Amino acid sequence: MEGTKKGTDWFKTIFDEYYDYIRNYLFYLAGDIEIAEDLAQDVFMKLWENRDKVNESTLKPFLFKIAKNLFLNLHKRKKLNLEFVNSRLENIENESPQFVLEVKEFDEKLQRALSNLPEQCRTYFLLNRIDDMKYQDIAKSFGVSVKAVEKQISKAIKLLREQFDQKL
Amino acid sequence: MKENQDLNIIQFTQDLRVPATISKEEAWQRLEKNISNLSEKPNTQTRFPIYTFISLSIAASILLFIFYFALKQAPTKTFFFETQSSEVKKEILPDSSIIFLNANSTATFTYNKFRKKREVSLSGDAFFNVRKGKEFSVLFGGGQVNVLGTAFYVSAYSDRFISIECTEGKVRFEIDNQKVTLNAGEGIKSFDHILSEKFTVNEKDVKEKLNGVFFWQKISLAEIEELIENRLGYNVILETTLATRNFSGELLLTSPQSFLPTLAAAMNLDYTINDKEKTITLNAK
Repeated sequence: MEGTKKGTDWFKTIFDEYYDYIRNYLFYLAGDIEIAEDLAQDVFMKLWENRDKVNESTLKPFLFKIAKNLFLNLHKRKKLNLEFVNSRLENIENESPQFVLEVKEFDEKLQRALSNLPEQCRTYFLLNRIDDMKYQDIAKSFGVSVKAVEKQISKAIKLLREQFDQKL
Repeated sequence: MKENQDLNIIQFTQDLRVPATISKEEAWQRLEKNISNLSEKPNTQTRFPIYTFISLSIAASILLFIFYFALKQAPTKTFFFETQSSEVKKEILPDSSIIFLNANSTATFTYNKFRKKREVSLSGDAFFNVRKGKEFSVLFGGGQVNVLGTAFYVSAYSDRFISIECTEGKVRFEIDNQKVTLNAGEGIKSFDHILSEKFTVNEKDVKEKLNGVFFWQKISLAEIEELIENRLGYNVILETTLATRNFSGELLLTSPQSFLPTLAAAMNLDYTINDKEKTITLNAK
């Protein structure tokens, strides 16, 4: 689908495929779901406005790039406080309150540790673990080598481990 | 939890989900609306006669008025948790705070409001483990507890008997226009609107309440009566002269049979249980 054929049907397909990735990526950057959801809208509006210029093969990197730029333009870097929902906690059944509280404590430490990670290794690590993006896919989306992605994800795991050792 | 920490870090991260205030479908609808607005740019050269302008203004005001009321009455999702006698339930709030709701209790919160103001209404007994962040409030008949990030137990089946026990951090307790701050290891109770002195609590005893085991250094029979009635749903008939007598020790409050022999022996009482009529009678020997 090229040029003027890119109508709302095309746009809906792209939205369905990429919205979650872009919204989640913005959440990993901003740490605030309302900001992430608003910026995700802006990203797709930019795509709509530039639909005739966008090359299908570079669509995903294009969306990630706009997301990053919009975030940097609008939001100054500040201390992050990621607040994820933990499905493991929700699904614990028939366990003692003591066990549930231990899991919660671990979850809080992990979320704090994730918030403390540097931006690049945090976003690559979370896109890989939560959004199931393969190393190659991340590399392609951000215009970096697979080796660079591997390095950032290893760095994330190393830093997380160090933070846990320091008793968060 | 500690033997394979690396594995846990990875497994736990995979269990995390990004929260959402709107669904994907709603996000699409919003986007679709913005696109259609973009393609319907008004012609700025058009001039309207004054009567058209007035008519449009009136129409816009009416629409604004309708929109305001529609928005005001927009449905907000309210979550309602409930437990039966001798049941304990774990509930996770949108901010990952946890409530352990003890027997015969209810807790409610409104999702849309909760994201802006962490507030839960409680009737009954519950242990809260609150995630650090903005202020978190528990509202109950006659009072409220405000905390930042902490763990505490609230007993508030009715406004007649309220008890707050703090096991971590700090809590602010407001009742009958009186404000009290409790630190970890401190508790306070209000019975018939009379506030007690602070008392010492230990974390293990507080958590044991979720197994039905209650420990008191000093509690009146009238207070126990109130707790039994609310927790087990039995009507307790207690001689007035016994109401102010104090009990110290531990009781398993899962059924009348589980605690009455202990209580009766310790307080030198006779008791009868009528399961059919759901009544308990306590008399001095």
